[in-house]
Amino acid sequence: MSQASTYWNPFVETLPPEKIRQVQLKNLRRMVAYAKQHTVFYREKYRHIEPEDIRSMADVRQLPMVEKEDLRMAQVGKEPFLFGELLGVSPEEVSDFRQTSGTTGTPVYVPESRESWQWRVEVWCHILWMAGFREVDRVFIPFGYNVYVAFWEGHYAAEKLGCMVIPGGALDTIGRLNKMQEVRATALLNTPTYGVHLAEAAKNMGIHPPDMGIRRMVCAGEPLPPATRHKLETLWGAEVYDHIGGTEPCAWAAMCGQRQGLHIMEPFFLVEMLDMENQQRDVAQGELAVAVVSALGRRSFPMIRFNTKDIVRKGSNGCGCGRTSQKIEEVAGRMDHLTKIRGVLFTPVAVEELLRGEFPQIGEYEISVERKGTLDEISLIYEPLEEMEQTAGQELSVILSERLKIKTNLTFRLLPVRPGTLPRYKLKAKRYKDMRGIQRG
Amino acid sequence: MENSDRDLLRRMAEKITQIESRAQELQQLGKGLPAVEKNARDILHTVYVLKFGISDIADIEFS
Repeated sequence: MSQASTYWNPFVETLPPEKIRQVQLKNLRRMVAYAKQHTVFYREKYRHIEPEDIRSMADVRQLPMVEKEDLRMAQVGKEPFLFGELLGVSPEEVSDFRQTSGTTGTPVYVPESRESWQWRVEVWCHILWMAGFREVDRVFIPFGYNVYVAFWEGHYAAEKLGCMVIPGGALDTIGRLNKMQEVRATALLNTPTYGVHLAEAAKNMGIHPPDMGIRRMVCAGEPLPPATRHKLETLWGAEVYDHIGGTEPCAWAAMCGQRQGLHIMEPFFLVEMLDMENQQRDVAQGELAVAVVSALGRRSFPMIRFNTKDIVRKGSNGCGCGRTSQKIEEVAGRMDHLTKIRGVLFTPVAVEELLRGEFPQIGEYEISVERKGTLDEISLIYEPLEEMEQTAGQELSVILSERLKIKTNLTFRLLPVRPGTLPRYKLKAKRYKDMRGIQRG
Repeated sequence: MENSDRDLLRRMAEKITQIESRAQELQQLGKGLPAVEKNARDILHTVYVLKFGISDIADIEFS
């Protein structure tokens, strides 16, 4: 194999699409059979389905989707303890406890067996290899990973690649920057928010972030619109890579060196991109879609046709990098953040994209939606990076208001605050608050 | 896929099967000896990943 160093596994990554589909269907049949045999949840859900009947994508559509609420219902108060009717292995085989962040409700507990963990780590090896991580890299991870999965996966995958991994958990931001310099870190795994914060903190210490020698960064935990990615690249003088995934199905698509869209990691996953209205129809290239993901090799917590509620734009097959997998052009947001405000469809990613792309003088921000009488009111609280003269602040406010109106078709109430006022986030930032359903006493 | 790559894929898939079989034998031999049993089990988990990335592709390629 002459392309061996370009790819983590060239047999998988350059497989023709029709063969990828054959492998996916075969693995899906195997996973459905396994899940029916080993979990109460799928035995009930797929009681009328025989795995050998799944021969085409049309057959795949006959499998009922799994919603996040289904996972919660299958766990709360159900046996065996902690993981309930979704557990695909015996409780004694569970080696790792993870859980979802709880952003959309009660967290889901996710069991990993040693086998399933190896499978997840292998997926992450693909992600890191595509992002150019190699044995020579010293990978700094500036977080305590706790029970959240992404940085654990990144840690173990980087180790497996042969990188040196430096966990930066029990340190404050200054301590982390010092450690990064001490070990001459060359790569970071980061949330976008913390990547920006770390660079700001470095500047405050008199350090020019590109001088720190970080060559590449993989982001996790939050959306990474192109403007935010470019901002990070400029701040650090590094290549910044995105990926998409979740605790339940694992990471399922990631960027290659071309950094134009994300490759679905086939045939580890079967990803359906379905219409936003009722998730029945495959969308065409360039169309927005909801991603429905089947993880095809993870048996401790089988995830078949999981409705991720991630909104993606379908891309092409193939890429300048030579990989043959289906691509997604962009991650556009989440269905549960897609909301109507005064009759206008709104997603917070649009604001993130605008602020990071056009307003470098703005640091942190927060969006809130409230119901005032019969009308919805949307506010943007924003924090300039530095104190501004009154006139400059007013000019910024006028331009910002105009650009927000054009970008979102909504009129925002703008509330500038002093630098350092808003909370700083390390893991998932919570910059969007929809308070319309909250009763005020 | 070029012939040399097909041959390489086939030979790797065969080796994976052999390793799996040997690791299972070792696990049996070491039953009751945690140091053997658990390490043999870890080999089998790695084999699972190899089968996913290599053997499954070989199955389709040569079916």
